[in-house]
Amino acid sequence: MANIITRRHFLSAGFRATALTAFAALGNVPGFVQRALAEGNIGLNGKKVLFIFFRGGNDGINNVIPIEDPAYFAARPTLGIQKDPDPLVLPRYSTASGVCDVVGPTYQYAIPLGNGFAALHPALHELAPIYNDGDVALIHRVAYPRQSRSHFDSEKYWENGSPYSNALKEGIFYRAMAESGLNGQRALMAVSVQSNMPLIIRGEYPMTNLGDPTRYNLIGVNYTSGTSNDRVKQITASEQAMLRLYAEKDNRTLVYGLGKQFHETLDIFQAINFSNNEFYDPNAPTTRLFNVNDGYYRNLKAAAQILANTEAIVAGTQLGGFDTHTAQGGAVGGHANLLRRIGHTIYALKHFFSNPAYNNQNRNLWNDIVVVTLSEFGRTSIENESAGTDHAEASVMYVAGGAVNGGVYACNPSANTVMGAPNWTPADPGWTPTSPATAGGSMLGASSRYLKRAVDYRSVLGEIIRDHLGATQAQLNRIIPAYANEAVEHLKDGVSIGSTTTPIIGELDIV
Amino acid sequence: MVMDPCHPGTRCLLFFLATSLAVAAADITPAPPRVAGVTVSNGQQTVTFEPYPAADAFRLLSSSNIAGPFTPRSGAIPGLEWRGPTNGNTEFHRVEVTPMTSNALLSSIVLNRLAYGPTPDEIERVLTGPSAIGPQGYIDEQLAPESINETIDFDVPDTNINWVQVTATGTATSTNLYMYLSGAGSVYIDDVRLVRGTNLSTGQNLLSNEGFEDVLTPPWSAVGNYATSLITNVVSHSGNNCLQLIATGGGSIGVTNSVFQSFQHTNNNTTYTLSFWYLPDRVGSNVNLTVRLSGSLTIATVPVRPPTPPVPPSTIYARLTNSMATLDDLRAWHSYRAVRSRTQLLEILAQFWDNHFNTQYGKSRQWFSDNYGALTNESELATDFEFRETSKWRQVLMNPNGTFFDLLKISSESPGMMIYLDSVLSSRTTPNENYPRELLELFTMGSDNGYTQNDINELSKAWTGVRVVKKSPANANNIFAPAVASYTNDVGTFVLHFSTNSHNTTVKRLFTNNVVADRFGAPYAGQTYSLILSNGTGTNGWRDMPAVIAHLANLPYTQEFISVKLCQLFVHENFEFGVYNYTDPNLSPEGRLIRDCMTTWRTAGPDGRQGNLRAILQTIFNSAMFRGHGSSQQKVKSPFEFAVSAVRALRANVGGTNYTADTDGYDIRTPINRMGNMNLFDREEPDGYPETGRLWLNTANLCERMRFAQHLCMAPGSSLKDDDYGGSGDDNTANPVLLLKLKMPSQSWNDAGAVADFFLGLLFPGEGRANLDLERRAAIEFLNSNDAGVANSSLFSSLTDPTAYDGRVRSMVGMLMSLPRFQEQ
Repeated sequence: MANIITRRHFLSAGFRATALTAFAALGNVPGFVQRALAEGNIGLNGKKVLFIFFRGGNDGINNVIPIEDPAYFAARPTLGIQKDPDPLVLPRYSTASGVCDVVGPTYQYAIPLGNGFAALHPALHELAPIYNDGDVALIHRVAYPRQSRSHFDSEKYWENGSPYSNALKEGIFYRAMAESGLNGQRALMAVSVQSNMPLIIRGEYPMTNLGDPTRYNLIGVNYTSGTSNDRVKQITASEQAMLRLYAEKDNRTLVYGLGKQFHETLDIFQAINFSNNEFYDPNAPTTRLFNVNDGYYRNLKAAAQILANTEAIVAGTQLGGFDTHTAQGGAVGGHANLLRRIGHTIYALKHFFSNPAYNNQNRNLWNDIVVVTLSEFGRTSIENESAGTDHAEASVMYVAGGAVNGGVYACNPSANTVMGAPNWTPADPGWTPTSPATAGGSMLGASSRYLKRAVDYRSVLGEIIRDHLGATQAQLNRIIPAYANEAVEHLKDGVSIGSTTTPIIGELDIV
Repeated sequence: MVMDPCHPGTRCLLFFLATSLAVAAADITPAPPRVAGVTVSNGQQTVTFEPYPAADAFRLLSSSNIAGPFTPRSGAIPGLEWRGPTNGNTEFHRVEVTPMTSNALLSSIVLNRLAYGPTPDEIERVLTGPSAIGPQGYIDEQLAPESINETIDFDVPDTNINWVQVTATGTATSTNLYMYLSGAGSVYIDDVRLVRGTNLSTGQNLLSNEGFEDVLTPPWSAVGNYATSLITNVVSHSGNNCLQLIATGGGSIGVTNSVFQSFQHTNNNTTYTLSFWYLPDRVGSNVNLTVRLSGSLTIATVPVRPPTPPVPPSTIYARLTNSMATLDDLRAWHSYRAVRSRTQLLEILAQFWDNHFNTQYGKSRQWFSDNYGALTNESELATDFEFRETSKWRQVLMNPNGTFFDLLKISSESPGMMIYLDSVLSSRTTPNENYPRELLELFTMGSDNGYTQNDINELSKAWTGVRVVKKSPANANNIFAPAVASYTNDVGTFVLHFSTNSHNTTVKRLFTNNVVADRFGAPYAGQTYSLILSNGTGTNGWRDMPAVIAHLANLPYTQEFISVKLCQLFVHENFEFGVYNYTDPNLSPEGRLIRDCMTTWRTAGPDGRQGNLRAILQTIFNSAMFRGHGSSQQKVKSPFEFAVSAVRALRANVGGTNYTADTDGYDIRTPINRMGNMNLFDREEPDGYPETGRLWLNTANLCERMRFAQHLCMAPGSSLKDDDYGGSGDDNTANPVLLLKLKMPSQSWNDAGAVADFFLGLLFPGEGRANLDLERRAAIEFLNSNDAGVANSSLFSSLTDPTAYDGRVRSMVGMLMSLPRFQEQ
């Protein structure tokens, strides 16, 4: 009798009780049956996500600067970004104009965001017009409870969506793909373009990682002229050899399936032409949007091209270098260089996706795309002795896209209905809300040196997965298990001051 | 039931029900395949039948009467179908299969599991040769690596036998082809080809004696500084001879100072293409070789480097044993041992245990940088931690009395491990649970298999006070001795230290009130396995950690978990820990094998101790599941296994230390990184690299594996070989033509079918000839077609030009090694 093996590893601990039908079936069942068992619209509504992980811990406080916070300049004598003393500009930091200033690349001061409290680091100036279009949500104070300060651990928790649980060995977006029921019907579902596949799309069944998109091809082995012109001959021969399984083996289905998937995606990726870089800035028509001499932009462009030209649902890449313990730099310096990339990333992606000539559907895709950034933790409010910052808790998430409800979240002086108070952390824990003007309350939590959580990263991702990608709430409860435990985790509706837990806002209604 | 939605000529994805198709694990000879269907059209019938593993031949028998007699039918069997005429009446059909012999099947299994894949020579030694030792002989030999005389760490380097091809295209202004060097020296040259046009394989060669099989002069002339050039048979690219171009000084274009030949020049507008092969002999630095026509456009000038042998194994080994090796050296050593050594099972196990007891070079290196910043050799010291672990494990594996406890003890006392899992930060006031958790979860009992968080907490108290410091040679084995005064100036090594002040001296209680679960059955079930670590102050505190190790090493949970991992390595991937009910009379074959391993485990070994490693392996290798279809080709190679097996598959001994395929060891690193971020000795996560296929494979990783195989088959000097990996891969070389000419009779060298069969037998020894039908046909068509793939446009039987022949064979082998089936183990 053939072995009926209990596929224990298909069901990780958090899922056993609730997900038996949906998940177990996704193991060995043909595609059409999988799809019938799935719910929701993931992958069917044309909506896509592009994620970028900033590795090292992005100092959110100097990205979206709480410049009207009384503790900011005291905490950062060296790293603080100064206000522009120009009398036409200075009042705008505290004025709720609703519009972010647009400045040029040499500007060295904080850029008023127009909410009367926050400002942008000058290196982020390129995203200002996109922000003014209403397409960028700047979400501050994002973290998870008892945030780990360890790079490895905290990255893992950001990516598997389950802090401090080692039971889930797959990523959030992997689970979203599995829930779609499309596995086996689509050659491409989630794709990463970086040196190795990140946990966020890793799981039992292989998603796709392109270490180098230009290497995604057979080499061909011809020698008579030293160049490769028998590649087609190789591909044809190997396709012929794969037409039939002669005997079943444990892994043969997987291996042959991947072989076939490779040939199919080879055609898809060849059609994309990752060497193509004819994507131009509409405001500077001879300037290309992506500098392909830079590995990060090469990968970013490839991820964007994949989303724009294939049926892939999720794509992403990463950018390192954010672990700025020493000589972080203020308006100028290492951190500023990274922020320039963030600003340009959002600018370039909007203009790439908006241009109908830049994708094979010949239409503006920007409303179908959500760009989301992640980072494993934020950094200390108070700078250290090496003119840098150390590991801390909450940081900034950027969410951009045509359908995004733009604005500044959790970094403004107005009261929040859930928290029942202005978005301050009192100088000492005690939870008596104070207004900034009277009792010196500060967002920076000065005595504890770090910015406290007001939003959970899972609320942000959860909303994107449900309201943008089209998961049902039941699916979301499986993709991010804490959603099923709202009474404790409060990811959806938040929890106000007065309970014993840290108040958080819950979902922000950004998509 | 068979679902076979794929029919020839269509493409589809193959995700269909797999469970019902797996051959019964314990059966060595499954029942013959059933007929699946018959279709008739225009007097022709097609009988399809089910797949069958390791089938050498299929035969169809038919009868008009179901009771027989069944007579064999002639007619084609392309794949799993028989096609032939109907005879008008209703017929009943049966399929008869000639399976591969069990000896052949077991040979392919042992060479893929106890070795990193077969080599042509090992296939002869184990199965096909006149004094073949047979697969059981191989198992017995490999289980006792100390009895094999392995000199690999002291071998002299291989001679460079890699000919390099150069080509050039352009025009000419006169009728001579010239060859010369820019300085004194000598270079071997062979197979010089000059054609009109751009197609080297179809154009007529305008030169005579291009392979130097005849006298040199005429048609060649050797003048000036080149007058002493001669024909030699010391080496050759093809045939027996080649030209040894000997220069007493630099040469020049012209008939006074070169080796040259006249050819029939048409006019100054004709395009010519030139190709030749060279092998450096003796040259100074900065010497170029030029082969050219007159005029400025058909010139090939290449810098000729003196042949650089790879770093000798003895050099690498000396660095390792003197703590002067870098991580690249350690990886190279580990890699070339995997490719070359006779003690293959030792290599497999060394890799397995290093992966099981995972530590990370990068973390040790960071620790040195953070704590001993004035040192300049932190890379070498961090490498040394890794090397110490693996060489100690290898010593255990070379000992017939070696037990799992011995391996576990080495790991638990490794400075690399104590740093990696943060025990060096653990103290009475701030106990660190990282090592205690992974000790139970990953190294002994398995996740949640017989312990709780409480036990981890108690263990965290025990693992307090252990440190790593530099001690003098006299104190290196004294865990209590103090560190040297100056870590920069004083001689010594970084070893374990026990800080009595930091140790938690309270009583610790482990597994209190636990009893072994009922599912284990006798004699385990119901037994208690608690351990109390009494309060030890001062140096007595050091007793805690060894006591825990000794206690964990042979617990039934440990026996189960480790046996499962070993069976996943050697048999197939679907063994589980924590679930089998060993008392169940319907226990699955997998459960029974684990139970047998555990029975062996608890039986005292030759020295009276439990957990004898060889005995446990014997149990696995003696099992029916291992010895048949239950294991054959059921697994997938890891990136390391894939790269190493690819080199081995084409690696036969030519004579002396020359082989038809090789690596320098260093050039395995980049490919396996690309194939899925496999970085030996430097993995971040403690659970070790996966043993299962689906965790390694996605389309992009598969692509990198295919590229590696193709790259390996490329001739050195080909521009694609340099482009793809550059310096970090061009020392992975193979010469399939040299291999086939070594092993095949000369009358078969241009026989496409014979050549295809030869390589199919090397690459897929466990598949069976009948099951390789499609691959065979693809290979034969490949050999008979031109570069554009036009069928039968360039018959292999008449492909005589050595360059074109070389390219075609290399290309075909690269294609076969790119097939998904070569991923299987």
